[in-house]
Order: sequence, then C-alpha cells, then structure tokens
Amino acid sequence: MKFRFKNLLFMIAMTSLLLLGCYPQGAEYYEDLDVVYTNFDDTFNFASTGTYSMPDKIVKIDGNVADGEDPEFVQEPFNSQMLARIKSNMTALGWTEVDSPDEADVVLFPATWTNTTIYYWYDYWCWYYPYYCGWGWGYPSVSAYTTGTLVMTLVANGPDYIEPTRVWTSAVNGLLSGAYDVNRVNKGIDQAFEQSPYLKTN
Amino acid sequence: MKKIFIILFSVIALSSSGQSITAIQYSMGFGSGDLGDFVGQPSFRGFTIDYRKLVQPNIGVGFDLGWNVFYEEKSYDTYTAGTVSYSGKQYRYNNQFPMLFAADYYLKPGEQINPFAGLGIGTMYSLRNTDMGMFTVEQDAWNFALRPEIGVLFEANPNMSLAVTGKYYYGFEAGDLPAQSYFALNVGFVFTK
Repeated sequence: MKFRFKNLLFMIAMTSLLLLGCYPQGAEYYEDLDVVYTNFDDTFNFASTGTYSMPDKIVKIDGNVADGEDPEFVQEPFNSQMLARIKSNMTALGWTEVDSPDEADVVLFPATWTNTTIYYWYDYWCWYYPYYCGWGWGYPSVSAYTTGTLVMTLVANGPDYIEPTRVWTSAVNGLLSGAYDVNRVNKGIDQAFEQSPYLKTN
Repeated sequence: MKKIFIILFSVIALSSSGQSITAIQYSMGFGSGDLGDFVGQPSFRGFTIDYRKLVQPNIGVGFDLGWNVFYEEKSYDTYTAGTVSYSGKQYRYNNQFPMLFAADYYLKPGEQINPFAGLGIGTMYSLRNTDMGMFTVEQDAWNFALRPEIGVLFEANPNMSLAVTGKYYYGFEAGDLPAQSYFALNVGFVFTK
C-alpha cells in the first residue's frame, strides 16, 4: 500500500471538519443567557438609611422621548408584578416605602429597554418629580442583539447631595423570547437583591 | 530561538533523501495550571498532525501542528470584582494551537514495536473566551512553548503504524494570559513514505 499526499490532505480535511462539527456551542435555552449585574457606591452608608420611594410605573426606554411628553411605560399586569417583586425585596432588606420622593432617603428608579446601545438617558423621570429631571444613570454601554434589560437604580437624596447621586445600579439582562416573561424577570430581580447584601438597612 | 529554527530547517532541507513519516492523531487534553483552573473538564476535542524527516534511521526532525478545545459549562453563579457583581452561567472555552519544530529519537527503528521520545519547541496560540449572557471576554496569547513527548509506534505494515503518544505542552506567560499548559494523550495513524 502506497500512501499518497492527497490521501493525507483528505484525512486532514476530514479531521478538521469532524472537530469543527463538534465544537461546543454553549447556551441552549433563553434562561441560560440571563445575566444580573450590580454595582454600588461603597462610600454610601446604606445601613444608616431606611426609607425609599419608587414610581408606580416602569419606564420603557426607547430613545424617542420628546420634551414635555411622558415616556412609555411597561404594560399591565407586568408592570405591577415587577414592582411588587421589587418592593418585597426592599421590604425584606428593611426598607420602608414612603409616598413622596422628597421625604425618602433614596429613590428607586425602575426602567426597561430593548434597544442596542445605551449610554446615559435623560428626561425620563421628569414626569415623576422635577428634581430628577435631567438625571441619567451609568449602566455601562451595552451592545445587544434582541435583549431585554430591566434596570433598577437607587439614587440618594437629601441635604448631603447637591444633585441626584447613584448609589446602586442593577441590570437584569436576557435574550428576549417574545413577550415579557415575568418569571424570568422576577428571578433576576431576586438575584439582584440577593447579590447586594450591603443594601440591608437597620 | 531563531538559531534553533534555522538549524532545524537546515537539517530537514539537507535530508532530501530518506524516509518521512506523517502522523494524524486524535488528541485528548488534560489542562494543568491556569488552564486546568479555568476549565476543569478534560478536552475530548482535538487532533495533531506531525511530520518527521528521518535524518538517521533512529532520528526524525520535523514539525507538529495541533488543536485542542477545552470547554466547560459552569453552573449559575455570582462573580464579584470590587463593587461589581455578575450572576449567570459561564461558558468557558480555551483553544490551544501548538505549532512546533520537533525532533524524535526512536529506540527500535524497523521493529514492530518502536518506542520513541521527542522534544518540541515553538509557539502555541492560546485563545480564551469567557461567555456570560450575551457578552464575552476574549483573551489570547502567543506563548513560547516547549513540548516533551513519549510514545510507541506499532507497525501494521511497512507503510503504516498505529501510534500512542503522550505530550506535555507548556506555553510560557505571554499576551493576556499566564502560562498555559496541558497534557495530551494521542492515538492515531503514522504513515511512512
């Protein structure tokens, strides 16, 4: 039997194809791609605070809000279901909700978006309280595909702060599977608080 | 390094006559050191192609090319760095592409069972991806690499043998990565021309 060079090339090609064919593919399900991000200001003393306020609507960030207009909001019942989950987590950490953001130690801003690149968004909170008009948060820019993100941000209030100051940011990000999957989002909300034990207040 | 390559090239070029052997082998990888820490699972995806010119009946010089893919799916977990925490499932990939000049010494040339030992020197391209959600962190390095090897050839006929070899790749720290090392167990065919 004489071994030929073209036989060798054929075997190399077959071996390469075989290996490429079984290259590991990673995630299989939408849930496998869910990520929860949190960051906080380690100079802020959460334990010395205890009250928060929160809008009763979750803003939908679409980049098209016009001056003087209210933004779009997440539709019901998903809006209420997510807000209830956020509140139960805040309560479990010792926080008390108050009606007026003016009286609260911190304000929690919930928002969602489904677009591509986000840097800083302004003018989305004017409808809630004038003080927060023009404020933007610092979730890192995201180059996404068709992902959905729920962002929760705690902003400190009070005489120590000349302007709204972000002390906690959380982003629950996942590949969109169609309509809102509240179970996936709620799981992400729970995780955001679970990995932020420093939020516990006295 | 450059001198070694020149000497090896010269030896191969001057040995225009004589036999050559080509080995195509399936390769299983077992990470060690940093690679083993990053991917705890062994790799069952890999192959090597080795070529040797027999400059003496018991000495072959040539090159090795290879590819091993290490992969591990980590369970849902939380990773914290400073004030930042991420939770999710991580999918870790480590691709190793060794490209080495090599020399082997055959203990029983011409016999049915022919053990051998060898040494390789060259480079190894390491490509590491850490996937989490829709994001990936990519790190790579061109490591200067050394590779000792032992193996046995089982002659099936004058033109073909079966081979079982063990290789240890060590790529020194470079680029984005610390030293990358792994042990490879290879089985395959050796063709003699």
